[in-house]
Amino acid sequence: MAPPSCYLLRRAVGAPHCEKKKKKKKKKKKKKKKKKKKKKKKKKNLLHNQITAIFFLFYFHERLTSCFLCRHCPGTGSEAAGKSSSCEGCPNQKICASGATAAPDPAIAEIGAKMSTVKHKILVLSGKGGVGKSTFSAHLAHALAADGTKELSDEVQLRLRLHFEPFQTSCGCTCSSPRGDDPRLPADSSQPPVALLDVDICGPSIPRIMGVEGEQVHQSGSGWSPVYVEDNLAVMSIGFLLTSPDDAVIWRGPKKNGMIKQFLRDVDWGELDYLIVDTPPGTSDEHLSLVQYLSSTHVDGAVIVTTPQVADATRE
Amino acid sequence: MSQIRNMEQQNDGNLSQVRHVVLVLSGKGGVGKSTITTELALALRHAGKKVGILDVDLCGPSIPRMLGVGRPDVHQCDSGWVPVYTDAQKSLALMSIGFLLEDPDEAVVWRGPKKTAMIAQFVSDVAWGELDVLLVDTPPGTSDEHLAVLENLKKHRVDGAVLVTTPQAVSTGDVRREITFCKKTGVRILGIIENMSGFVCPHCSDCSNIFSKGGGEELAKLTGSPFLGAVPLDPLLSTSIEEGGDFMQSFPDSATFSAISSISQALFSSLQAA
Repeated sequence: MAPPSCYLLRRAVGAPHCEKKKKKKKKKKKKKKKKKKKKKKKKKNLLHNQITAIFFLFYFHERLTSCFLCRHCPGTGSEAAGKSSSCEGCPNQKICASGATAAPDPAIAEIGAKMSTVKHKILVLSGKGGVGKSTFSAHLAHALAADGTKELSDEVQLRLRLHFEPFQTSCGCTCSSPRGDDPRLPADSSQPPVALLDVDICGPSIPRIMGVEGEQVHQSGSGWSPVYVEDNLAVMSIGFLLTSPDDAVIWRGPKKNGMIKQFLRDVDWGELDYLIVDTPPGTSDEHLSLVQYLSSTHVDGAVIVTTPQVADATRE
Repeated sequence: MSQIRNMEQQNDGNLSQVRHVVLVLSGKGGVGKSTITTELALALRHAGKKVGILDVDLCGPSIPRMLGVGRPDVHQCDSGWVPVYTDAQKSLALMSIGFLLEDPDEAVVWRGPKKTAMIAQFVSDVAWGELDVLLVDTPPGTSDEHLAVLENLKKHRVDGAVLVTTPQAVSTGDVRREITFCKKTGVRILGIIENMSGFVCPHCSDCSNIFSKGGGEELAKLTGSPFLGAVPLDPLLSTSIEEGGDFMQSFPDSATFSAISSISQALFSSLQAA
């Protein structure tokens, strides 16, 4: 008689089936093998993905960065800047994640301080080009500068008294003569000081319209001196910084923004009643930068110029 | 790797059947770039050519209104976006951001990088098909849009640029800068067009030079560029543009029609001669 098999003994005793255990063990082994295979596949896929990612990055670097920057970019000022999944691969990811981009530009506060001597700021806008923004801005500036209805303030009266030196004439009368030529003190102080700022970087027309083409901008300790069309009418444009009328300003947005920042921060505007800002057509970098940099000051508003057949004014 | 090759082939494929690419530039706004682009396209179409218009003026897209195509949806095919055709024969194709805006009064308030990416999509992802001429209408100035168009058209040959100006010195002064831009970027200047050159009264036929005259011709002589022609200031053209009509079909006897036709013929012959 053959000895009872393990199965029979176990069954008699009530122990679990041997083969079932074996099957279970086999299953466990299979599972382990599958897990190992999956891990290996993952590693291979990771390597493969990294290699393809590197190829993508090198081959389509610009396209991908522009894609990441633009299509799914949460925005440099948002809380998710540099931290969202769409930021992966962007060359600016570390800068955004550090929070440097969310911090306010220190120039905004500087411009705010500079603009504290300017009473009224007016933007001249239009979505469409060629409607006459520069023409209107120039004539508005002339009209405001020629307004002789302004009453002299106490401060201006004091400055006038300090500016003129009293002297005794041969006949015994006491007269006064000006100390020097202070361009920021209007010859006729009943006329308000006005300035015209041209932020059309690519097509500066204001110098030609105002008749001061070819003039140069000088730099002093207090900043850039604007070009004076009249004693109380100052103009600043990139046209004064170009050496030739054929010079083209082929700049992308960030460089134009830097120029506008300099115009607002570094120009010695002095005390102004009106600052009129002539803008280029459209709704782009120049307009966004202007509003951003003037955010710490009060902008009275915008004048929108149109011609009868234009539809782009509504977008503006 | 195969995905990269497919994308490259697709990018080349979308422009591979376009024979000539012409940019319409001007340093000055409001001189009539979009109007001239539209009328040149219509003139070339009437001459039997297949024409495409790419409107890269993202902040102020005017071409859809000028052609009276309304605001149809832009569809996608295997090769990319399908341009909007103005007629059943598909002889005039158009792509503009105006078709992608939900509201006609919606403003595109984008900084340079976003505009650059959009233009890259327009250049590479639109399935233009077979075209004789692709006209690219640009915004005024020398900025992100212009650089983006040239960068993305590097693989495909740009035949040249047509510069539009008005007669007065304020306009020619800005267009001189555009000429410098073309020279610096290596774009051939196909010619200068003087728009709004004289106003012919519809009642007495007397011509008044509202914006002076001859500025474009003088600019062409000064810079050594060819002068393609002068287009007068025509109220009928303005009305046709406003209503989105086909001026070339409606007013074949007008002086403006003959001016634009001769300019388009001169342009096409210079493209073929190159």
